[in-house]
Amino acid sequence: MKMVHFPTTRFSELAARAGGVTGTAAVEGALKNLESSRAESDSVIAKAIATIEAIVYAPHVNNCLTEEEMCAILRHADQIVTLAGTFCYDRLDMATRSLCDLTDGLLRAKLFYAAPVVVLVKAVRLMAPGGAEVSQEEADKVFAGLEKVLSHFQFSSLSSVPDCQNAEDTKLDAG
Amino acid sequence: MSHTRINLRNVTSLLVDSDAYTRGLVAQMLRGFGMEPPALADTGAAAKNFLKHQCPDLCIVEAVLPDMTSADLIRWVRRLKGPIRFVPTIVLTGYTQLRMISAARDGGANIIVKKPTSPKALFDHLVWIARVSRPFIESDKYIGPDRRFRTIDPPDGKFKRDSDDPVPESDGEDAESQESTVSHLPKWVA
Repeated sequence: MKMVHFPTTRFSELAARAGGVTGTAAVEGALKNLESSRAESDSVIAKAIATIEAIVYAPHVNNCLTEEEMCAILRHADQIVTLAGTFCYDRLDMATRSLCDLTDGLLRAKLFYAAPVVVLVKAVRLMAPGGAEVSQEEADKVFAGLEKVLSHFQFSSLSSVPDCQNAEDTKLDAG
Repeated sequence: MSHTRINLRNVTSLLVDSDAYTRGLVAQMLRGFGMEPPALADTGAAAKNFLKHQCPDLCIVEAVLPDMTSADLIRWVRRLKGPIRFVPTIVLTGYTQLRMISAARDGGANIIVKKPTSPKALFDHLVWIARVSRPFIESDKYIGPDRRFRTIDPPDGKFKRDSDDPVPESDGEDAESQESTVSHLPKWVA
C-alpha cells in the first residue's frame, strides 16, 4: 500500500522565522571559519600523502599491492581530494583524482600493480602544498603523462560514472 | 541565492562522517551559517544510538560509513515512528563514492551532494530543503521524499501563474526520465 504525506518539518519552520542571515553573510561566515583551518588542513594533507607513500614504497611481493592496500590508498586519496577542493589546491586536486581513477580502475580489474600507482603518487607529492615550485608548462607535462597512464589501462574517470550525473556538482568558489 | 534570508539559529543537526577532520570542516560551515554546533557521529551505529534518543532538525551523512552505507542508515531512519522519519537528510559523497549515489537516493535521502562541498553549495541546498516541500512517500519498497520532483527554483513570489512561468513544463513524458533544467539545483529524479 502506498501513502503520501505532506509533512512540515521543524527545519522548514525554523528556517522560515523572521531574522536570520542572507546567503552572502552566511557564506562569508563559513568561509572565514574554513580559512582558519587551512594550516591544519595542509598538515592533514601531508599526513595522508605520507601514509599513501608508506604503502606504495614498502616492499611488495611481485611488485604488486594487496587489495587492502589499494582500498587504503583510495580512502586517503579521497580525503586529499576533499581537502584540496575545499582549499582550492587545483593541481593537487587533479593529480589526486587521477590517482583515485587509476586505483579504482585497477581494483575493479583485479590488477594490483604497484608501479603505475607509484607514478601517480609521485605526481601527488609534486603538487602538494608547500612542495616544489612547478611552472604551468611543467604541470601540463605531468598531467599529460598521467593521462597517458590512465588511457593505457583504458580507465575512465570516476566522475563519468552514470551515477555521478545524479549528484549536485559543487564547483568551489572558496577563496 | 545571495540575498536569500534564512534563519538557522536554534536548528539542531546530526553530522555523520567517519573522518574527524572532514566532520570538523562541515561543522564549521554550519556554525558559519548561524546553526547550533552539530552533534557528531563517526559510525552508523553511533548515529542510530543518537537518533534513538534525540530528534535533530537536519541530518548530514557521508555516503559510506565504516559499518554501513548512508542508504542503510537513512532507510532505518525512515522506518522509525514519529516525526523523526521525516527529518531532512543530505548525503555527502566523496570522489571515490560516486557509485553510491543511486543507493543513497533510493534509501530515502533528500539531496546528494558531492564533496568537496563549498559553503555556497551547502547553503543553497539548505535553502532548497527549507523552502521546497516535497511529498513524503511511504510504500512497501520505498519510504522517503518523493524522488520525482520538478527542479525549479524555490518560489520567489515573482510568478503567480503557470502561464507566467518561463520554465517549461513537463512535456508529458515519463517524469522519471526528466532531467533538470536548472544547473545549480539537484539534477536527479528517481
